[in-house]
Amino acid sequence: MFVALALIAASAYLGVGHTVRHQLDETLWGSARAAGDVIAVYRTLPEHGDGADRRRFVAELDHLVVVRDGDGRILQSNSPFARTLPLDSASLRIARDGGRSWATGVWRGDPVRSLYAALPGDSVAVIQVAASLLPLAEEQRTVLFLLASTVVLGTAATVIGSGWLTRSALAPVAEIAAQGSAIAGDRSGQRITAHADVIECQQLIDVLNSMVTRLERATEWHRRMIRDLGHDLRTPITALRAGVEVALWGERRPDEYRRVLGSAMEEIERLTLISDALVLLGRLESGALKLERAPLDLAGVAADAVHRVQQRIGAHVFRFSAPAAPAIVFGDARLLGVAVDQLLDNAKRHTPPGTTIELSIAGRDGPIALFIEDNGPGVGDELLPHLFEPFFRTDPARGRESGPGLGLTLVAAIIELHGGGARAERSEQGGLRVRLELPSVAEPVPTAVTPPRYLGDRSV
Amino acid sequence: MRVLIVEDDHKVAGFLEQGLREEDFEVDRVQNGEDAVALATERRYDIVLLDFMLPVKSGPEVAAELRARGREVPILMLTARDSPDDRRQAAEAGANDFLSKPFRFQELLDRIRGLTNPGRG
Repeated sequence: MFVALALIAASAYLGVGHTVRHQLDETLWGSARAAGDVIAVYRTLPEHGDGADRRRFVAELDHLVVVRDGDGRILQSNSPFARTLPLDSASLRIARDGGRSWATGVWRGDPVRSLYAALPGDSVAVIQVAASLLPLAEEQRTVLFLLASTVVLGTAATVIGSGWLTRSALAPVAEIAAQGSAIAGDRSGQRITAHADVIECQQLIDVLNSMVTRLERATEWHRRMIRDLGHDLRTPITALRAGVEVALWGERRPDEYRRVLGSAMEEIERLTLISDALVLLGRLESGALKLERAPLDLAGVAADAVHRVQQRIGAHVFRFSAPAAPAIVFGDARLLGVAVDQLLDNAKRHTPPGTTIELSIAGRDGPIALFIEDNGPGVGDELLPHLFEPFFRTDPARGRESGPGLGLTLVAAIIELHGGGARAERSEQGGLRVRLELPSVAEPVPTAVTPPRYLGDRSV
Repeated sequence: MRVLIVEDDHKVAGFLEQGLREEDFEVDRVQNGEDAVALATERRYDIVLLDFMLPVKSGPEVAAELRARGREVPILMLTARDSPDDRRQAAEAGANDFLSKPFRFQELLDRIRGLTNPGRG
């Protein structure tokens, strides 16, 4: 800033000097013409006056006029005082040849500016009109002082003003940051309100508040996940520990040990289910899981899953109505198989023995829907939207009989990764119906794989 | 000494029953809160081992109902939930002690003896 102001000031100084000098030269030329006119009429120059002296000449800007012959000798002057004016030979020659010339010299220690021009009507005489440069120099000094003051004051004002302006402009940001820090500390539920009415700040505040909301939801989701996971891990561990500890309490028969070991294996299976589901969910959430997608018939995936579940001991009835035409989707056969397995296991666990579980597929031109429904006791309508949340149970008290509580979360995550959706509804028989909807191959398939909404961000 | 186990996980309940019988306790066992209130009202027990989360009636509801009926039997709450809120809820309902799952069997025996013989140790 200082450099810029200094450059501007220097330019102004030089410009002013040039302009004033030019004006002086024009004034000298005007005086020369006026003196020439006087000489043409009166043949002589009027005297400047008795009191004329150097000081007055300087103070009043009066011009001294002399008429010289071709060699520079003074023929007449408007003041005896003028007879000592310095002569510039080069300018004299130019004037003698009919031209005009200005020259600067020193007269009695002071700078003086002279104009040389041919005297009108005279072939050899030259008129010299001179003026002191002292007033001009003083004027230039004044201008220089004003410009230098402007530079110094301007720089100081700029420094002080920009500091004040910066502090004023950033004050709202500092207050917003302070509120943000307080919220980041321990003020969950609060939002940034400082300067929310200032248009320039609104966008920043909206973005920050929206981010806080998402972070709070994600934090709450993870907190609940960890709490529920801890609870779900304790249940099988308690059974495992109690069985082994009591078995070691005294001497047992081999069949008693066998019974305890069998029970321990069941608990280990429960723990394995939880850990498998967690690993898979973790890989889905981090995006580390690479889908191996290919066009496949969803009816084949469903038939395989029904076959697998029927291999396991149980008293449920499974029915699968295969569609007349292939239901082709672009999917990962292994993961879609896991999803259907989970749904069938879920239906089996939550319905009494003897319940009929039906699996069907609908849709061909648009999205393809896979339904799994039962005629069991069903779920309250108010609970249906929560069934896909991790560790959610329709009856919290019956947690230990309902599996790890992650099965339906896994289903939703897998289906969403395929660009589809999962929904729970009441079946026409009064039981539960889960609908999985997947894009058919004719539909555009999302290419970007983003973490499913049931993982991490609970904002939707 | 008579113990009532109120636990809906049949494996945990079975192993506890076996261990306590081997320690010469007389043991009754029920799987839900409603049966627990009925049995503890009808019979006299030296202690009730009460699970927190139960079908029909929760552990705190059972404890509160027993206290409301004037039953002063010591209640030891067993639970996989052990947040400060859970502990406060159990205490307010009338439970005498709180044991988090999983626990050592010896720890359970010590708590039972502490509650049934408050003068000793």
